[in-house]
Amino acid sequence: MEFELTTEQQELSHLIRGILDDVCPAPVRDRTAAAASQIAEPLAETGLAGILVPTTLGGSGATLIEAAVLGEALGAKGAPGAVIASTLICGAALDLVRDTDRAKVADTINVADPCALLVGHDLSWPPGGGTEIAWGWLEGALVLAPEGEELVIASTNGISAGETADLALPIGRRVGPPARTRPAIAESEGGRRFLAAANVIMSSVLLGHMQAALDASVEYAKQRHQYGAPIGSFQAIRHLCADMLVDVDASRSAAYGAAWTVATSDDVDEVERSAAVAKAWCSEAGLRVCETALQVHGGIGFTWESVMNDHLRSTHVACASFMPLEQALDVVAGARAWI
Amino acid sequence: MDLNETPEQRAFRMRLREWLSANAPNRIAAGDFTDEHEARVEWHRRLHAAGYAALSWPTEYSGQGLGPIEEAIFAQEAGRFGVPSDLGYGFIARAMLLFASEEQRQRYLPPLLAGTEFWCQGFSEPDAGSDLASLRTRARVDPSGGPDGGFVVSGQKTWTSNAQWADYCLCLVRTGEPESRSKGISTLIIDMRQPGIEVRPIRTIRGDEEFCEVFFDEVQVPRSCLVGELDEGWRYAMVTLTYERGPVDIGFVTKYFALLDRLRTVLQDQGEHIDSGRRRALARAAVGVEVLRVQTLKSLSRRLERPPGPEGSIDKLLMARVEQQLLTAAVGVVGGACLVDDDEDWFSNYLYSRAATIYGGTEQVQKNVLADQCLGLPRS
Repeated sequence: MEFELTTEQQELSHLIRGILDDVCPAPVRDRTAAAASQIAEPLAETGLAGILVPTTLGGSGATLIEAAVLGEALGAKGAPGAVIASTLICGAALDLVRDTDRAKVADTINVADPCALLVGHDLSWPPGGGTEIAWGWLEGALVLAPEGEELVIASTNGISAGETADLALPIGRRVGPPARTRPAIAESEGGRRFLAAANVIMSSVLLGHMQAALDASVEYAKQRHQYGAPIGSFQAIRHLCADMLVDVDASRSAAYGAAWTVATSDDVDEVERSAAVAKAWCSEAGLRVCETALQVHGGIGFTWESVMNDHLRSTHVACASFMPLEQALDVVAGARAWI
Repeated sequence: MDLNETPEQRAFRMRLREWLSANAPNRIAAGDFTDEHEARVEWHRRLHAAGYAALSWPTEYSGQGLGPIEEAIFAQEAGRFGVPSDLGYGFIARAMLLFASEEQRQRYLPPLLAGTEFWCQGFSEPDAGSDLASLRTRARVDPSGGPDGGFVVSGQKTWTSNAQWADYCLCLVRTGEPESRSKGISTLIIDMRQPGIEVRPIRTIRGDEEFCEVFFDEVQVPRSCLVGELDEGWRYAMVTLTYERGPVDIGFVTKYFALLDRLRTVLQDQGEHIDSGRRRALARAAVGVEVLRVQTLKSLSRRLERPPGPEGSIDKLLMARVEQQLLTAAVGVVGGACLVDDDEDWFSNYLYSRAATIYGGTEQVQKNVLADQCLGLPRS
């Protein structure tokens, strides 16, 4: 038994972080195609964009564990959400895409061009009619939407640019008639597996935000002086930082443990449950950590310029995306309620 | 990253499962074993006779020569059958293995691991709780014994678990100047069956007598019972505590899973009266237990590479949080019924969970360890 990442996975992590340090040294606050393409290019050149695309479709054919490594790094650096959507979310959805559309979607992902996923008005998946959101949408993006038990490339008619609380995530919005029936894809094995993978990916992204918020807080607590001493020497602040460390370390266990289970288990109930555990834990821990980090930064953390602004906003959006906390808890309780 | 068991580990698990299904005691309500020392001792001896106690200890001291993975497998399977693991003297034995002389190990480890001699750990004192380095139980060198003379011990220990049954105490004593703090502490093996020692059980919040006060009045301790070097006891104690802190060593995770299973049944029995609040409170507790399980795997995998370090405090804090959340949820799910008639021990277990942030170093002490040693924050 070995929990640590393999040497190859660690090298992957270094490679990704090296690229991100060059391209987005600070969290991105730009939801435009230009911002996304800046990071998309190096990801495509290194084959990371197609990390979840099978080799037969021109991708790297890696597992969800490698995808989680990438997700953590993208979250920590505050990378453009359009890249998370295309590379990780749509990459994980590829199995669900209708045969005749799959190659086109794979080609789009492999070059990290925008590919968005249609979700509900509250960011949960699958969409249920009425107002719907194209998660990661940019002008010209492919949009994947459910049709029966499959995903298809949907028409982009009526989609207009919108905003979420996340300063790095572009979305599209479309208003339509409410659906009469709940989408069959939610109950299909493929749909359940995709949703599990999406939850693991969001857990890893949340982990990245948490680790970055903790690191920034510890650094700040060492530098900021009050009463003639660094505030990190005061027990009130030290204990807040220790609380964050416990949350971050446990979230790492939760996110990678679930990545391993989803990547290796044949049992769809186990896959679904394990991903829901990770998403529920990382959602609550992520909010605690970012709110605590903001507190440690004091008034500075409340300013528009602070990176706590980015991490807290992105964390809320990641928590709500694909499966909100209450639904994850219901999965764990053994009742897969459609909400 | 690979969380699979090897074929050998799988075989060990299946063999153990078969043995447990034939040998595990029938019905064990929560609390039976912690209250009934005799039952635990008998169970430990059966485990030992069958080769399932002291799994990770060297064979020359009557251990099984296996590793932490097998120990974790044992804890899981024991939890599946609702029986406790072997007697929880792991950290005392660990201190002996790491710091005692070969002669001491040969003398004391085999009966300790076999469950034929019992030990307690004399660390805390009335005025030295979290501030352990201020301990005052005095061991002065017996002036009549020459340079290699023994010690005469006087003082008081408290929160000493199982002292009422103990044959020996692994005891921290002051051998340096009164104000020497961590520099003047030594570790002694004290024979508890001798004059001058008085043990008074302390009744806990839930009404049982798990630990004691121990009074030493001019107790004679031979030089041969000094563990390691004189005045070096603090270092040994700190290393020993890192082995006491993780859920890996305590094997509580399986106990939590068993509690969750019972709670699920309680909830199902409530049928249509289940409200989503109770169900989600239980689900949230289940999420915590599951994350603790994976965290334990992570620590276990690290333990194969290197000895435990300050990050053990992360596991201890997480374990305490998860246990308290679980038992708080339990009281909510079971409702007022457990306050009227607690025959299922829910309220008793809840009360016990409040100790999780106190024993083995309080939550606040653990956070200081993390701030100092894992985060590198400055000290005041």
